[in-house]
Amino acid sequence: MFTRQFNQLNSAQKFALFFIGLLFVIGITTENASSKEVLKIGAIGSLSGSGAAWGIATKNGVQLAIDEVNDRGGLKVGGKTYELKQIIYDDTYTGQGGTTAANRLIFEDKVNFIVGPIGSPAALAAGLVANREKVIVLCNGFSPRIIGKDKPYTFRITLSTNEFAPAIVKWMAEKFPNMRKVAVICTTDEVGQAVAPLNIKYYKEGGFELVADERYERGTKDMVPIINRMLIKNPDIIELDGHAPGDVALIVKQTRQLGYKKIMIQTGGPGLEQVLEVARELAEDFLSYNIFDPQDPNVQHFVKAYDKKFGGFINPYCPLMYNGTKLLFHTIEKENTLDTDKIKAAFEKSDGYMTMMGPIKWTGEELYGIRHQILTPFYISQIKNGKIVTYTKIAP
Amino acid sequence: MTLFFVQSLLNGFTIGALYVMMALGFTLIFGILRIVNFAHGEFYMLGAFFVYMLFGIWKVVGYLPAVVISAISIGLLGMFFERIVFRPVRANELQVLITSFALSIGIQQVSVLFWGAEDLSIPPPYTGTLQWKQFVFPYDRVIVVGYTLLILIAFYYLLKRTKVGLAMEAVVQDKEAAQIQGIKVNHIYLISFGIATLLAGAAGGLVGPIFALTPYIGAMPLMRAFMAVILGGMGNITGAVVGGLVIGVSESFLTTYFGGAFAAIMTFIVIMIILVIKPSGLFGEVGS
Amino acid sequence: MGYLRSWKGILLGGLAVFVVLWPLLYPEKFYLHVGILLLIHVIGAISLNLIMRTGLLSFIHPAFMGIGAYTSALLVMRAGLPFAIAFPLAGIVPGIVSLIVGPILLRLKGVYFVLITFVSGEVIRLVFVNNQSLFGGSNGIYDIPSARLGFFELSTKISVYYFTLAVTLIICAACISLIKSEFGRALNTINENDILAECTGVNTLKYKTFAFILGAIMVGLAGSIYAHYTRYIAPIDFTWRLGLDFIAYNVLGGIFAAWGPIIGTVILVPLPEFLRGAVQYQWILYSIIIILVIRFMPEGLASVHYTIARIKRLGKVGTAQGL
Repeated sequence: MFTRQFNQLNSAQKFALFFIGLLFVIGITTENASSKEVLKIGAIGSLSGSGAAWGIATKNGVQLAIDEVNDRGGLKVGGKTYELKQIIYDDTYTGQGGTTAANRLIFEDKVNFIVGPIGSPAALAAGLVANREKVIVLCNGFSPRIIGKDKPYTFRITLSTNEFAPAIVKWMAEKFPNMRKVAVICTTDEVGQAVAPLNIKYYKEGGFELVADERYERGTKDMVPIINRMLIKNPDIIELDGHAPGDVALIVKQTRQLGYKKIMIQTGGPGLEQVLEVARELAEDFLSYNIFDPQDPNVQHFVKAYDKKFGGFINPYCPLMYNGTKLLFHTIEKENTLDTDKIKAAFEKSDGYMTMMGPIKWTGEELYGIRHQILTPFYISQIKNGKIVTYTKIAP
Repeated sequence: MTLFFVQSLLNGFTIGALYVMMALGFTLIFGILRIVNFAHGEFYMLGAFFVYMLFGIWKVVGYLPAVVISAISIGLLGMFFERIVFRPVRANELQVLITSFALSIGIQQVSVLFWGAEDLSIPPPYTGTLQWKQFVFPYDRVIVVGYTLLILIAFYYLLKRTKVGLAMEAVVQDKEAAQIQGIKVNHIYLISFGIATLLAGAAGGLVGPIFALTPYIGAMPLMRAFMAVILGGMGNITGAVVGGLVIGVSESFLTTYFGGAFAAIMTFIVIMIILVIKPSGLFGEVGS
Repeated sequence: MGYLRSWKGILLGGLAVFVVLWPLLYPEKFYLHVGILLLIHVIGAISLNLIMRTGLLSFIHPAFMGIGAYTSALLVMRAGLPFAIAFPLAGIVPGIVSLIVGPILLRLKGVYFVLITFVSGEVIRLVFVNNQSLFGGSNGIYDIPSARLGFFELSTKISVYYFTLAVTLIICAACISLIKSEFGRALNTINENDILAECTGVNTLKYKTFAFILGAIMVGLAGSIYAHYTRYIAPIDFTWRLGLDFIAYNVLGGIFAAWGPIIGTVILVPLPEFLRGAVQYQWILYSIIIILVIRFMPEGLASVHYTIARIKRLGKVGTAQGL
């Protein structure tokens, strides 16, 4: 179209055009200032790349919690009322991304509270920056090092394997007393290195026999060779531990296609919706750790609000991020302060706070050195007749 | 254990079929246009998503028509990108590489905007498995192999028997001479790119129901296409077919017998060895 | 080009003053953070430039940065060595690795070189991932101490900035003088026509290897700075995606312009920060920008005056390769 005219410009003119274009783009993408007194709530999540599902879960969970407060007039602290606003940055699921996002939130946007990241590299990195600046971080990640005495401002607001695996293994031992042989399959990355060994440990402690421990590169879609490897050992139980939902679904589908008829369980994730969506009838009887029961009357307001605002799948981490954010707002209003030291102390005493899934408890002294690991009741669900059915609720 | 050996072999072939289709398109683009198309995986991904929309969401056509429509659309899309994005920079290898990288990221991210990042699935058009003695063949995989064979035959016919195919070969051998003969080289480039992306789109549409869909599923087939093409020789059609099958089968065997992590490293190392010893691959450069 | 020289002189002088003084006048911590990352990436870009001048795209470059980062972190944390020793070793170790693999990899050209460096980078990453006891596996190494030089602990952003600035200036000066010397001209000839270059007595393999090793050493140092600044490294920070970034900086700025890589980095590193307002569109805009720039300004932004000269001479806007 304009190619000929464009080619007749010299390079300096092109340079100028480029710059003007750039400024234009920056201009239209920068946000406007608001008129009410605004309290910024920082959030970090993977908004691009393969971790995007979790980043979006964080964004949506935090937003729903914020909406609830804003809808009733705002957050009341120290005589003032604040309109809450979420500022979320992409961590690209890397350490550098987490560091940069945290730096920007803390030094540029001047937040005192960060929700997220989900994902160890970014969470570890962001935690380093935040703890030095006394910013509270409510995050998740499989690495046990995410919380600790050296990170007094970091709290893990999602359950990790240490919290739910022992109870689930115990339940398995009681329910299936004749199934003793466990095969574990996992990726080679941080999930595999942090989660799978823990599951294995708890199974062994629970009296089970480990017959296979298979690892594969994340991104593999054709699991059949590796499933074959497991099936050679004739397991009774196939454990899918910390897999991402899509991978769990594929493994369930492909394993059933190969004719395996015994137990498949995921003590991790969870990813039940995806399993149902991808494996369909082959998902029957699949067991899994679950975070909430969508049928539970207590969570209906959340489910409805999510459906109305966002639609689509509710990623299981979303309610946890929502709960954590709500606890934060509750604590801020209760302590009537924005001071992070006071909020931190209050958090540690907030046992018994009622979330839509039940009361919370803080734990972690023994395993991590600090009581910053949240505990909420959780569920074991099973897919029956094409639906996710809650089998049982476990309250720790 | 013969059971697992044969099962591995069969499995390797089915996944190899996918790699063959990807490798064919990839090598075609390189052989004729001298473009290394890093965005090739994205066309595979879009092929799967188009089928997802046509067959899974809007439900306007049956599965096979959906695959055909999707493949043709992806082919057209490919031609669009060739004309608009690649043709102006075609002369410089460096720029083409970077452009195709940037294009791949751009397409991925636009797809995330449309479909989100969670795993989606296409309703399986064929269910059930074929049981023969102890061997298990899921129907969907068997059918993919069947369609791939059909496509391969059609492709060979196109290349060797039609005017377009001969023109393509002429362009590969000597661009200027072909031009003198009256062949419109730019048109050939356009058509070749279109055919290549059509193959990728078809692969995506066929394989889509077997695996789950996310905007990021293009990376793995791209990597495998690369490896297959290195093995078989850049620009070599037969090489692409052989390479694809070899990669598929060896991946299957290595994983079944040695585990996933080992297989990944081994495959890389083998590729490196090939690149060092005989970079032109088993069948050498150019020529079909 | 007399007028350009004095123009340039003023510009350079002003730039130098700005670069050195702004943290004192405007110590916004976030800007310092971006500044430090920018300098680290400048080192990455300009060290890659040497090998890119021979027409090769190297995707193993970020892996060398990773090796430097891990070397430095492990030597300080496990072997108890002072940073003053770990830092140069962070350059030497990748240098040794590149010395070993270079002559093998550099026998390949074009897309084959791209592929083999890509694959080699992945293999190195896998070594880090699968080695939990030594490298911390996928989760990497955490809580790396800040760099310590004698009595100074580089724990504040400002101190890290100045140290990095010093290192970057030295590296840039070294690279630019190399580029403008006969060595640089030899590299350029390898790109234009390597067979011809051989005929005129340029041992192409030797020059390419030299450029390769120098690049590895410099980016290894950058890796060390990165490790002791962010204090957390993981394999996922050193993938081919980073390699693509380095390449993009070079292409945007102009591979064959001395200041090209620097200009490219200065524009592209802060860019995602400006585009954050459009959080989900960030990467789309980034890729569109890259495609457009390559399409319409293939010589890169720094080659403006070369292109003007060529227009004056030939009366048309240039095509692809540099001069």
